[in-house]
Amino acid sequence: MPENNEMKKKLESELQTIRFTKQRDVLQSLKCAEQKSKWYRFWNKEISIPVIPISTICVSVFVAFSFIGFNAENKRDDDTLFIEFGGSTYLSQQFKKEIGNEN
Amino acid sequence: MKIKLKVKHIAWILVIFLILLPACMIFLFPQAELWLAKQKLENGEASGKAKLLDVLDKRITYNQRYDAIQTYMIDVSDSSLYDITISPTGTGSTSTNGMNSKFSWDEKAPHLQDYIENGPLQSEYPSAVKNLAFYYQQHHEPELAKEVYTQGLKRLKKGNDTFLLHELQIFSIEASVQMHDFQAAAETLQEVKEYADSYNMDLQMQIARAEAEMHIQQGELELAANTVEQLLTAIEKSKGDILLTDSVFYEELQTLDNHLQRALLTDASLREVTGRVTYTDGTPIADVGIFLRDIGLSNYSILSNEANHTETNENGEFTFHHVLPGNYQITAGFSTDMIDGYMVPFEHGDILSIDGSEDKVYDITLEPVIDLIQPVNETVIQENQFDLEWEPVEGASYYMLEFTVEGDGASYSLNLDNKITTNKTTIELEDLYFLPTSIIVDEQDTKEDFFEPSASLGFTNPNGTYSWGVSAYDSQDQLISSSGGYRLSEENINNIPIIHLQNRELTNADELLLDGKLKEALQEYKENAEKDEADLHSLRMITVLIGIESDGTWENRTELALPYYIMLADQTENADYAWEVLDYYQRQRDWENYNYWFQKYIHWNDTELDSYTESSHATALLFQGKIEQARKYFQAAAENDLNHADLENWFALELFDGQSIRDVMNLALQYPSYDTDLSYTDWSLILHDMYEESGRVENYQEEIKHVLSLYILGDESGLNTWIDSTELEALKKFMQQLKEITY
Repeated sequence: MPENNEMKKKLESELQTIRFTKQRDVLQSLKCAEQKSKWYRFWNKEISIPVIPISTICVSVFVAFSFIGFNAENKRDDDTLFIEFGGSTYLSQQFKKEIGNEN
Repeated sequence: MKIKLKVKHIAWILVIFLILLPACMIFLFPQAELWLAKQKLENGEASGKAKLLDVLDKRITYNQRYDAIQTYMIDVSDSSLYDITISPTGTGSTSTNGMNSKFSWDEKAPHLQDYIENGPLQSEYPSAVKNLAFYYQQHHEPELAKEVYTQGLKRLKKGNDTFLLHELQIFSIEASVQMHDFQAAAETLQEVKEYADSYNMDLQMQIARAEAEMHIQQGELELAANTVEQLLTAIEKSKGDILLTDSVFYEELQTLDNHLQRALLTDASLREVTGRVTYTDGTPIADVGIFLRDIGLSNYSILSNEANHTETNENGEFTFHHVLPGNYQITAGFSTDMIDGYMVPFEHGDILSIDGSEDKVYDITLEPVIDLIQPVNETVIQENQFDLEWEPVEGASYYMLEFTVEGDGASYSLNLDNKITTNKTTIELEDLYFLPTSIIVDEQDTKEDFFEPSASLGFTNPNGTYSWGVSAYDSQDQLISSSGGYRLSEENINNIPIIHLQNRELTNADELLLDGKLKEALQEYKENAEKDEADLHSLRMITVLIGIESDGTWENRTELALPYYIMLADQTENADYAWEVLDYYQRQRDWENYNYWFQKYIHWNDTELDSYTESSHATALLFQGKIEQARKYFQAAAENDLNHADLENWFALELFDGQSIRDVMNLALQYPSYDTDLSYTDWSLILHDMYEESGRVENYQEEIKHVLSLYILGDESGLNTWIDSTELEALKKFMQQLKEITY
């Protein structure tokens, strides 16, 4: 034990002139490493996506668009645009509106 | 169930999406706009046209651009160039592809040009070329029209679709002929003849027609007739080996042949048809499509190869040059804007007859529709009579009323014979109840898709919907205007003439009829009539329904209905019922009863005899051997009927009475039949053949007298034996046609 004390004194006397001034840097680098690892963890974090709700939403959107598209194919032709009544030709929409108003 | 994704992958997906978004904005937005434009167009919204024109200049795909041009701008048939085409044969027909109105020439011309230069070589391609060239022809730019054809033919020659090439070549020949560029027409004709498949009869017939048209416009009628004759003879000789896939071309060629034969026979010259289309105040209407169509073909819808098609200029004028003598009808094509609030006073059967002696003028004046005052807008009529009123028409000498049974699938209209001299009148419901309705001839009729039991009730159905209309005539019996026309904008709708006739209740038999239980209904009507002979409704319904008990022939149905018609006629003194009775006796050649009922018919008929009745009665007199009386009625019928229909028995009478064939032929030329039926007979041509045949055969007059006496006496088996054994082809044809019409 007295040898240890000896050593310690010697070391202290030798290091007396040396001053450690980079504590801040060390701390900073430690902090950086921690942030990097945080970001890395976040970047690689796995998120669970429930298949059924998401696929339901996707299918619904697809069906809705398909439905609109399908309806677009059902062209309005002359038969539905015009109507003949009492010897006159009318535009169907106006004719129906007029009949509706009278009722 | 779940899937796992890392945040970085989601982030990447987002980044890619954000990069793609501007690209989507550039490429997908026009797609959405195109979709929207089409929606608007097909919903009849006026803004759809502007929207589509806007989108066509944006980044849409090649296919989308030309598909839109094909769908909305190229018109494969000539009639679809116009929103509405109106002819005297039928009512107007609409062709707007679902749009409120079609694109104007100015709007579509640049896109058609683009399509011709860069568009796909599909079935619409020849029509695109034809459409644009027609536009240039009509706007006095023949050089541009030729240029368009040159471009189109050049592209098609590079391709390998000979069908499209030949179609365009035919269009090109026809256009060159119309522009009087006969050299170009002849060159293209040479080309198409060289490569055309000789077994493709449709094409061969089109080539023959185009070639004949070229000769006609150059005044070479004999050459034209030879061209047509050659092909028709080849078809005839093949005895069915030549397959005619589309009979329209064949009918057209036959009609052209008839015209040419008649023109050569009478040495008639080609004539000009001019006219002007205006509103009633004199304002000219430009860009109205005008078709001059042979009446024999007028029942066909307008196709892509109409020989006579033009448009009115800025003064509303149109001209057809070098028209062959014949009987034609004018059909006019309008845009919805032009016709809204108007009607075209064409009368059914209006015919433009060109005999070669003079040029013809045919003006068309659009008249404002007559507004109806009462009863309108679902008025319910419960009294035995009701008042009608409409806006008076300047210059009208009298008005006539029309009533329509409006069905779900089909509707039918009937005219009241009364001439009304003021703009109001009162109608008894009984008069409507006794208007003839659709009659069931046999059980098969009731199985047709269009059969509606309620239609059999006519105007007696208290649950039915009915409409009415009025037409105004001048002192020369010319139609001035009518309430039926085009009411396409809100301000022109006016009152809608819907009425309900509810002054009677449905009987049990009526209910059975409406339920489709026709046999039970008929049985009950019969029981009602037995219990009460004055039950006119039941008697009338028996005549309507009794066909379900017939063997399918008209004769049998009429025989079954006869006692009920007699009861109805005696009780109502209605001439229509007397007609049904006398018509039966005429078919039976029971002249005593026929003459008795004809007298009753004359007595009960309020109006003058029409030409059909006159010629029918004349035929009955001829068959009774009353030659002089029959001749008198035939002469009256010929003068009264502008269409000169049903005069064949007059020609038979004159031949039987010893007139020379040449004189009878001249009579037929003087009164040519304008029947619009496709199989109409040109009696003058048959008589001409008989005249030539008579020069080669001895005792021809005796043979005529012999065979006509068989015909007049109604000896059908004797006549058939003669037809089967004779070698006199022209006389045989004459007798066959007579027999077909009369027996």
